[in-house]
Amino acid sequence: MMAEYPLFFAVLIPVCILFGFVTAGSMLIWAERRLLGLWQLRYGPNRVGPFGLLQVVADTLKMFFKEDWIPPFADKSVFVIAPAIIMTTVLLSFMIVPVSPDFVVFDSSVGLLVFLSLSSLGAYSVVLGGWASNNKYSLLGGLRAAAQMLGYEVFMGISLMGVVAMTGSFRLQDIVEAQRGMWNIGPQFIGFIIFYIAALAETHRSPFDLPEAESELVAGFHSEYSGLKFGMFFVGEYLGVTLMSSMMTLLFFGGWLGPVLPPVVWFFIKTTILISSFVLMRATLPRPRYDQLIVYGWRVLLPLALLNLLVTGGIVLMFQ
Amino acid sequence: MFSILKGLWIVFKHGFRKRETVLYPEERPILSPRYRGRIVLTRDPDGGERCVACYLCSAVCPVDCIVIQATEDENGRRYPKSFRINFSRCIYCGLCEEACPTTAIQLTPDFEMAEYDRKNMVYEKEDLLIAGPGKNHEYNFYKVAGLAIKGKEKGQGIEENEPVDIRSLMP
Amino acid sequence: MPTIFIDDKPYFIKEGQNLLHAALSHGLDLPYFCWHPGLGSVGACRQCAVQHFKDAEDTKGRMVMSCMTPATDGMRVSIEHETCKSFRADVSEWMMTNHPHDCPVCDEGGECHLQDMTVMTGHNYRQFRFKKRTFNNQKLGPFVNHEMNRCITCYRCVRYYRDVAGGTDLNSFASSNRVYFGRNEDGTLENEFSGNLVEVCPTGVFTDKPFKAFFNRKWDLQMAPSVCQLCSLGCNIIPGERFESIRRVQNRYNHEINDYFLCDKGRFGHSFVNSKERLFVSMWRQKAKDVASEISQEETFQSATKLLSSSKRTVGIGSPRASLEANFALRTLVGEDNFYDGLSRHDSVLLSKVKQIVQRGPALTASLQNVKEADAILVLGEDLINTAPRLALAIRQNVIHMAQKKAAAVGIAAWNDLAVRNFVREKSDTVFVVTASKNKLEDVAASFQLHPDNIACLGYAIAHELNSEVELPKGMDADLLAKARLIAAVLREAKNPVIISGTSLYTEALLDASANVAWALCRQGSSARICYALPEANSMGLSLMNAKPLSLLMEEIVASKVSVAIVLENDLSRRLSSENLGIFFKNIPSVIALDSFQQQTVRQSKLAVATCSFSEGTGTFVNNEGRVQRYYSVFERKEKILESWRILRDWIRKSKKKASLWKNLDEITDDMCREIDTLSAFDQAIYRASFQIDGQKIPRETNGYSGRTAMVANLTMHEPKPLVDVDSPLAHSMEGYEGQPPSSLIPFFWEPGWNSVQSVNKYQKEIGGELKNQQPAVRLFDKQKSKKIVFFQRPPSLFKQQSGKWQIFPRYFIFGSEERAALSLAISEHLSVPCIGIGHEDAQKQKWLPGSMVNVEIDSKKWRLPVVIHPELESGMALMAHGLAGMDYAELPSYACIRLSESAT
Repeated sequence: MMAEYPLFFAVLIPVCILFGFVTAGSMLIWAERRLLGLWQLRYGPNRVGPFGLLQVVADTLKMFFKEDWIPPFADKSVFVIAPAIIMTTVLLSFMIVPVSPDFVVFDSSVGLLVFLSLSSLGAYSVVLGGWASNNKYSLLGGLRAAAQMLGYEVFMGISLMGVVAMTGSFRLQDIVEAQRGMWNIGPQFIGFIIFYIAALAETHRSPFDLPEAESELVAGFHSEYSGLKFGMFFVGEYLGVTLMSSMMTLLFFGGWLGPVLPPVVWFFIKTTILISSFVLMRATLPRPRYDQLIVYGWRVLLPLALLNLLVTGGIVLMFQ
Repeated sequence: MFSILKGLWIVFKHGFRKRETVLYPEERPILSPRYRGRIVLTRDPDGGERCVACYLCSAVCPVDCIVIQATEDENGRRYPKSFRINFSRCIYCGLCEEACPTTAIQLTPDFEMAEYDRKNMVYEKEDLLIAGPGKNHEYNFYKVAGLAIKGKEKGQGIEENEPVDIRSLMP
Repeated sequence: MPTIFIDDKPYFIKEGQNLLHAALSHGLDLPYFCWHPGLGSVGACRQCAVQHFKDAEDTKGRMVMSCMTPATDGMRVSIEHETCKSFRADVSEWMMTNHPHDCPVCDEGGECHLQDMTVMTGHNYRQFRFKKRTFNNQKLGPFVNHEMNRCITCYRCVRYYRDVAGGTDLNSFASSNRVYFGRNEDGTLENEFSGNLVEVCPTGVFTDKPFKAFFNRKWDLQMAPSVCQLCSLGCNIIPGERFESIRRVQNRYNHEINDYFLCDKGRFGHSFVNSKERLFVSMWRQKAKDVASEISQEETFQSATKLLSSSKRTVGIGSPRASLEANFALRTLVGEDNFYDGLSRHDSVLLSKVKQIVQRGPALTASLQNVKEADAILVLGEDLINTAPRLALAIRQNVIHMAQKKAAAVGIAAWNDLAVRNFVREKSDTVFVVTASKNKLEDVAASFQLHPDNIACLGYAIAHELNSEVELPKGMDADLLAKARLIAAVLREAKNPVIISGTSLYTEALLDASANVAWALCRQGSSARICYALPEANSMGLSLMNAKPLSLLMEEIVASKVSVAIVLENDLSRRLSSENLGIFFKNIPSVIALDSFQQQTVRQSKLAVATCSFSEGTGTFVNNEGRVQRYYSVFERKEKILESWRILRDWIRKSKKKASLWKNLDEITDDMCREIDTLSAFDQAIYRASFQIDGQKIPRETNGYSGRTAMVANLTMHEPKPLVDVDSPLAHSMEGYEGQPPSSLIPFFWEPGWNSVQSVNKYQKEIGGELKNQQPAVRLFDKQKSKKIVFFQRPPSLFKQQSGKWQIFPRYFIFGSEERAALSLAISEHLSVPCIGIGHEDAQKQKWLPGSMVNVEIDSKKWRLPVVIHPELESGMALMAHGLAGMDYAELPSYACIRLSESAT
């Protein structure tokens, strides 16, 4: 069918991906609060619409009507650009995500590398936002984000190299197809754990939300942001969570592969469970101290990731 | 590492437990009498104003939202001429109740204090004073204080001797 | 320097101290009750027990009362030793057995020495199960409240009241556990220093009665360093404000002036700022007969500048109770040629004489501390208890000081109060008080009464004895000459005698005579000092302004065509006779009066401008010794009223087109010092607004200040911004420097654990001495003076009675003669009533009884007054009450006919 109407699909797929993921990302606003409520023995937002589903609409509307304030002491242009960067990089990343074998915007042979490079660009958003706010808390938040993302970026890439070595391809469809026999979560369990932790840190989700630690930095890099700009950071974070979950589904949980149900549904189910695990993390774990976080990254996870790559490489070479 | 996983498991299990919170306006929680809600000024068992305007509650208030002005009536009783609590500032910590030497100021289980106008959150003495003794039914400060007021002369308090006759020559 | 070891740590001490004094001077916390630095030790309360060890090996030691134990070199004591520690806790417990459950309703609570000491000793649980002792209270008048149940029998009250202040009507009654402190019967405490009982009493037996009606805790008061406005001595005070009203005034320790004690006028007189007579809004009166209408500050400015711009000649009339800055601003507005002093004719003359004497003569002026430590004192004429009360108390303190010196000669320590009193039981033989009427110092000093002229003659005679260059008055009798010789002999022996006189008898010769005595002593090489009681708080400051006398204006008023007169904080009805006052208002079409309260001149003026009082404004006074002192505003009103100098400044800005003139107090101060040479040292006396410690201003509010977020909540939900004080280094805030500021900037005394007034201990270098951050005093007349002495000659002739006529002199009253103090609620209950004082002889001759109504006629003007008999008064003279409300101004001294009023009862 796609071959018959290439132009139609060339438009439809990006639109679907864009709207699908942005909607999913913003639905997370509601989903996270409900899940947190569930795990903390309370209700969460349940008043607006059925199950409080329209809370997202209410929140979005509120965000639209908030004063879009740029502090007089801020670096104005950078201040405006910063939130746009995170939205752009995350949304761009989605183009390489294959929801089903041919439902993908950009079928790149180096899809994984595109993802990695775009996700490291996301760091600029936080750093610039923190810098442009010209507020000591924001600056500290930005600095923390920079150090944290630099540190975790390194072994995030390395942790995935095991998967790449096993598959022999950077193309995500190939990686998924290679899991027909067994999901990568089995042989690459350590790689998965490391990537999961790195993903938490990349999206600065709790417990790695030190750049925006409200108790000491009063929301860190986005202290000065309000209205839609804040909304962009906010949704950017949720989109990041969705992106990371999708990537994990693709890389470790066999992507769209699964019996009976159509591929898209399998992809959706797996991603949702992973997203929920992000929320569970937030509901459970306290925030570590900042130096602990950095030390943990460089001294534990990086060597572990290298070791994982070494062992995987060794085994792959042995079987060749 | 294991404790983290254990923690995650416990939190996950919470998803299948009964919720602790109630859906408030439809279902009303039963609050303990010691619940820290709206502040009232009580009266002693005789119906007299319990507050003696000693300023301890205003001194202990961490947000400084209590302001009092003391004065004295013709019977020698000290009482607050004005007693104002700015509930828009109050954090319901209950320190005022703890500091009160006459059990006059008490926190009650009434928490429904929302207002559309912040000005309505400022309670004056007439808004605070209630008719009864609140949680403490017995205590009557002037009965144990050394100060004489009308109706309780020197020596008529609890655990007090008759006033000394200073001109007596007895040893 | 002797060293003692307290808990094995060495401390340097001063010779002759007791252990308690030494320990407290080193900042150690040792509880005490009966001891007071102003009273000495009697060892009554047993609270200050410490353990005394034989030597370094001794660990058991024996318990001694530190206040009764001299500290000697090498002594080893312990405060922390278990035995004495538990003993002290026990003592506290005994004291608390009968102490009532009163703290919530007790005015002492929160600044109570008993609370502090109980916490310090660690007693916290009452085990005593039996009934409490009770006492009936007494009504002690408008100043002091009595609540005897709270007594812990430390005896401080009677020791202060009887031994220091010289009162007789407070005493101890009964015995053992029933000791009672009070009067024989209910009644107002007679002593003029009774208010100090409030601070002397370590618990709540004696509390401030006016404060009781609208009580606030110490921590809730906004306080600032201030200076008493009610007499020329310039005692340091701390007024406390809450809800825009001055709630009470406390003593601000200054070892050179008022040390621990104030007079009742100073303590209770300042609440005039809360009086009904306060002027909050300016008033405009189109025609003299019109009823005045209230106008806004903007309208006031418009109408004043309009009057000024169309005026042909504008004169300014200054004031001895307005600050230097206000007087200077007025002088700048009208020009030096048009600036008059606003004093009565006599005051002008006397004040310029005083200024001449203190500026010219070799004798320095005496501070109260000099008086306390003088080895001989001569008071010539001044009725100190009524005109400069604290000076009278200083003389009493001097008598104690001299007794201590005498006792020291036989080895009795100065602090051993009872022993000193037992050893020296007679009156002082170095203090001489010569006055026209009884002076309330008779019980401690050699005192006798003479006609003012005769006092002056006596002064001349004493000076003649000391130095024969001074002319001896003619016709002095042998008795008087013998007295002069005796006094001269005592003064000659003294190393640092003080001669005290004043202006209240309106007799210039007294000033001359006192100067002659002081100078004659200086000529001998002694460092004699001179001290004058002046009429008002800033009389000396005004005299530096080179103002012309008001009487000069009155002489030329018809010819000079003055169209506008600006009267600065002055009531001319107290300066001019009613006749002259009429002339003044008739000849000057527009009178602008600035003042903070309603008075005669304000009521009659065309434009009455409301200015703020000392409690809301900052300014500077020069006291009787030439000491420059600044008082700081305590609070600001929500409807801000400006200081006089700011109002005048606005007018100058408009009329002289200087838009940026004097933005703050520092700028006007600079200008003033530049223009007035005498004030060149002024800068060292004050702190500029930019002064900060550790980058912080000094807070006027304690760190426990409460109710911040509710105080104005009834008016607005928006909490106002903290006010910015551009005039001083103090802040209207509870935030700021928390340590001890320089002495002249201390807004209140407080230390953790020391909430009572006794926390001043922690601010002193040595207990009873100067403060830790003592700022050197600026005394304007201490500069090098010419050694050449030109004595005043031509003594007055001795008084000769005129038949059928009496020479009338003014009589001042501590409660009533000061117009503003009289407005204070407490003092208004204690006012003296107008009267005329007649000698015993005259009264008998005329068959007048006390209370007979008489007509006093001076130059066809009549006063109808009741007679009061002064047995000691010389015949032929009379004393007429002066300055009391409802009495017309009289030009005194003058001769008058006194006749029994027809409608006499």
